[in-house]
Amino acid sequence: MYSRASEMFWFILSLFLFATPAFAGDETRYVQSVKADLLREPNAQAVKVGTMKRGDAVTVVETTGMWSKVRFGKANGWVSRIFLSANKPVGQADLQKEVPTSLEKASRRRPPSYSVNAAARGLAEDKNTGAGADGYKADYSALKKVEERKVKPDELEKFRDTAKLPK
Amino acid sequence: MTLWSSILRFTLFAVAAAGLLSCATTPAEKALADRAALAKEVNDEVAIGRQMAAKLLGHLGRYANEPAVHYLELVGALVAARVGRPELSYRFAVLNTADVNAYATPGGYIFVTKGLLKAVRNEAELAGVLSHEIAHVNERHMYRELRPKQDVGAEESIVRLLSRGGSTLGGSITKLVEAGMKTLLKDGLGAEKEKEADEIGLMYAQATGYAPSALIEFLKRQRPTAKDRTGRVAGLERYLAAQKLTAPKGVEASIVAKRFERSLSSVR
Repeated sequence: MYSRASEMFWFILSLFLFATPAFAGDETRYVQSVKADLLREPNAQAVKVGTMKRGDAVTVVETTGMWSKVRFGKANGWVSRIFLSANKPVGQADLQKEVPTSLEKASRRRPPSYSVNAAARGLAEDKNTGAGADGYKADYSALKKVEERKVKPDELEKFRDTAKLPK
Repeated sequence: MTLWSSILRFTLFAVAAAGLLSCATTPAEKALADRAALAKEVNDEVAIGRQMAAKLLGHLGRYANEPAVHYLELVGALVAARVGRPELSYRFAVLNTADVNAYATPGGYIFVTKGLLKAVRNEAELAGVLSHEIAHVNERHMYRELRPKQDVGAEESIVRLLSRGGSTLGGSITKLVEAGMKTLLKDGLGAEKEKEADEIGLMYAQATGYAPSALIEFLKRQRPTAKDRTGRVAGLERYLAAQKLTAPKGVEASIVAKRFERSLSSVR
């Protein structure tokens, strides 16, 4: 029957199971920006003790305002938390490959689908469709023109390098 | 057996079962769940953001001055390549209005007005404004205001996560987009989120190679009232000093100045 001993057993077991994540240690974060400096103090002019690149994993041991104190390999230092993410960085193409949903398709599948799908097909009558209760009319043909434009990587590099902006 | 002990026993079994289930997830399964959660969130952000972008373009019109638009895209892409979320495609466009303003909708759609292109005095000011807007996107300021309160956490069991399908939005997107437009054009995101985007924007601008103080100089001209001077702008100046954010060295100022004038001369 139900005894004090079994009550204690289940109580201790549940505490152990639930407490495990709390004792699991410090949080892992990933560098989200192309690169991020590891600094001796939490300010932008502090001495640089290392450089991390996008995707590097760090362990956050302390956070103060915009800054996180992290362990990166054998080094310790500070990095602005805005350059870190809980998610391991993944490019758009990889994200689409690994999950059974397509970003573009998904965004075009949703209501009001008639206007979005029509816009995707590039129909002339798409212009200024999709006005909602808010009175704002959507212009999907203008959006299509915006979405079709791409900056070429080599042109962007030239734009950066000729001005000697940091790589 | 008393009622109390029955309740206690039921609770303990439930807690133990939940604990066992949470421990059953392997690191690989958790990584897959994290990625699936990210994909769904990005799906939803883009779904809302692109419809808001279409409405913004319908409302204010697209300004198609090629040199100016291309220049905006280059400066924006430079900041986004440096500090943007790699899972997003950032898009930049000009709205055809004389008002001085900039907007960001979820998923990476960034807009500045023709009036703003006339008002900025150098590339660093434009980069500062774009950094502020990219910060809104990266921090999901608008999306977090709008999304349904059923978001998927990393700790959620993989079975539940994968059974949920491709979206958490369902048929509510029209209302979410309308709410987003109201926030974007009427109510605003609020002082706290604007302050955060300002502060992050300063750091983004510096990381990209631009003087972070340029955004403050731009805001000073746009918001000359005493209240703004002692409020938002003064707060940013204090932040700049506290964080010791300074202009990066070695940038070819004359080249930057020339391309700024060349690209935007037809707008002025």
